[in-house]
Amino acid sequence: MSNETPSRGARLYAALRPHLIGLTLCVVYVLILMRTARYLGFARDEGFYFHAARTYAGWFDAVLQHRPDVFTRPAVDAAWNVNHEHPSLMKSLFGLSWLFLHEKWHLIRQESLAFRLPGMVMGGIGLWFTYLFGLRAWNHRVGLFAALALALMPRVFYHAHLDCFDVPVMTMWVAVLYCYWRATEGGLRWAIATGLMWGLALETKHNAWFVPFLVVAHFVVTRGREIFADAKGAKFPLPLSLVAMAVLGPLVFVALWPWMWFDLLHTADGRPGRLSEYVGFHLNHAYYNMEFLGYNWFRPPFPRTYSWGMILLTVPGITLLLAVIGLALQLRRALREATLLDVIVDRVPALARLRAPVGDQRGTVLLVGMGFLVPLAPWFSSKTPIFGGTKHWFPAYPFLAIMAGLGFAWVASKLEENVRGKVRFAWLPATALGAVLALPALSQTAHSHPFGLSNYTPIVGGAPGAADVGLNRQFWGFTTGSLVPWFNEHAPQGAGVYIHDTTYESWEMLQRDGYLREDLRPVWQVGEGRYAIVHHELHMNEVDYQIWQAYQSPATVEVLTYDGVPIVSVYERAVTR
Amino acid sequence: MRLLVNPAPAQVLYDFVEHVRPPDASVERLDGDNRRACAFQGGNLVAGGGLGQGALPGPERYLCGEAWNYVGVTVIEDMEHRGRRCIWSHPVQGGVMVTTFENVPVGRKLHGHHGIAYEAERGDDFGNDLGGPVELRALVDGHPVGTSVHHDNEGWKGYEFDTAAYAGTSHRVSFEVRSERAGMRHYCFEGDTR
Repeated sequence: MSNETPSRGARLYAALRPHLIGLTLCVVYVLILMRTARYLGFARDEGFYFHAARTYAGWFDAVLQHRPDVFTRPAVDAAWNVNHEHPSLMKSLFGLSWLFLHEKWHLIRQESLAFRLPGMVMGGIGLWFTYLFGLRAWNHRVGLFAALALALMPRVFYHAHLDCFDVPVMTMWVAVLYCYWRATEGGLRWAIATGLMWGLALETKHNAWFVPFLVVAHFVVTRGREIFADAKGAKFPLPLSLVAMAVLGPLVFVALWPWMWFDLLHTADGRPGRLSEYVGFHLNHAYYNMEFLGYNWFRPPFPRTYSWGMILLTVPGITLLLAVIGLALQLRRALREATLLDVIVDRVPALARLRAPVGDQRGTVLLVGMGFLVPLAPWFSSKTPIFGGTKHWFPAYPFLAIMAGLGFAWVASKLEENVRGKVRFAWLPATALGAVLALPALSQTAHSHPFGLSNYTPIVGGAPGAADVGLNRQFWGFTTGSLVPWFNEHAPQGAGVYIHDTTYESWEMLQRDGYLREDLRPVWQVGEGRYAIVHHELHMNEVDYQIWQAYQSPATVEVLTYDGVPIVSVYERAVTR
Repeated sequence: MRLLVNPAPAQVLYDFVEHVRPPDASVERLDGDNRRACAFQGGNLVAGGGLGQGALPGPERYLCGEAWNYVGVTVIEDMEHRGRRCIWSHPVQGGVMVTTFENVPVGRKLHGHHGIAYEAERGDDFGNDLGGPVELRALVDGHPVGTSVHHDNEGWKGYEFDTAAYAGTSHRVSFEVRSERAGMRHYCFEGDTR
């Protein structure tokens, strides 16, 4: 053993090593997403965001050209009124990526990839933060397996391709909570980072509204004893990170969203302003349809089992098993971290022997547990719409993955105990175990592409089993992309196609990217055109029946399947108009 | 793939859905004392559709007023999302839609189903009904042989009327459709004699 002080280079390497690993995870994931994006059609919402991003990019371009009126209300509203039901951060990044990487610098040939790239990068950064959290809170093994477990969730993999907000807001959640957790060590730097990060999260998607509830709950539960003691002395200390969130969060939110620059709280004539409109849109969101266990749920009460059921049936089973092991291992520590319980224990001396001091004052396990539960909390209510499938609780998944990382680390340590002295390389058992345990998730994720929303775990029998029990096969109409080769080969020149759930912008992007023949035109009525497609979802069966009427035949000419399950049917009318 | 065998197939004498055109069928709309024949039109363009747009009328139909007040063969989505090929007969407020078939070979039973298209039957997002029950009354040579009332949430509801008194001969068979709250009653029925 040497007592020499590590060199500056060694210290620098030690400091940067976690980030080098995180960056590597990020870059590899982004490269895989870029490589596989070509085979993925464009979701409905992507179409809306293509349009919004282009419009916002036009405004940014005007800013760069120093146009004098660009910050006036008419100019701002002309650009930012588009799709103002969602904040602008990701759409701005989609637009800037398209503007520079595709339009100006020609670094990315496909428009869609330029739009989608920021979402992919956010997916990669999500792995980075998950790794860092696992590493700093426990060790490299926990962090690395957690990042892999997150990357290899089929639904996450699908959504990480898109120019949408669900994976980005997942990343923002884990980033905010990581900063908050670091801030619990004390100091101003991480507290400010928490505030800024929450502002960015607010600017990403409205899921971020729930973060303060989590932070306050965590603070109260883990600092309960001190809070009660302080309260007796008429003191009410707040964590700096919470103060930073309260101050910086709204500032960042408004500053980065030009649409909010005018009529923020109220209009000139006293009516509720844009903030109220934005909040109201999400609090009063329409109930879309979603199939679960053979029933089309379209209005409350929704099944409270939905979120748990969908986690069970879509997240790879090995990840869930390891997460359960990780949770079981950490339960006692979580109870010790909950110093709020001390307030009760102090009054019941008989319980005191159950309590033991916890070394970590930061409430790490409780934060991970709350990080998993709070994003799921809206679905504890039967009034919360379920139309988004699993994507709406993605922020829970990095914490589920960390629990899986904890489970893996424990299993690996047990394996190492058993083979100690029997293998030449000490790193080999855990590495091999990690590879073996990651393989099922890797296999499931690879197999899910490009039908990520149709994929279900073997617990329910995969996609065929899910179809039998009545689970949603897809939404957003993106699977039209998988029919491009068929249309390119079979459709006559200029044929019209009723494109059902696919938006015009999504169809058009297939053509702009050069995948789909440009002569094929979308039509908007079932009776028009030569072809009609149906994206199979339970509540969309009526479109099948409409086509039977319009074409006077129930016969399909092509059925796109995934593991034998019909995903999209194509009909061709006998006589064209 | 499973092959299922019907253990007791019915012997269908006459399927009304296959005869919704002249000269086999005629349609009238009764508004109080006013009896109005609905004109048959074939070769119509079948257009429209899309999610939430309901059943599309077929190319042949009897036109009885508003675009939805027709009688003709369509396919509705029932409450289990299954397609049901049937005779669209949207009731009219304060009136009766009457579809009559001539020279129908009648058996011991008049058998069928009726229902309301999914989005109309399931009610709105707040749990409110969108319309009232719909009554289907069958008559043989003007004599009622049975009535079935369809309420929301009953789905594709079966009915069976005793026609043994007329069995073995051909008769005029009519179906009357009425509802006290006829709005959003995307109603459809099918039937046969056996």
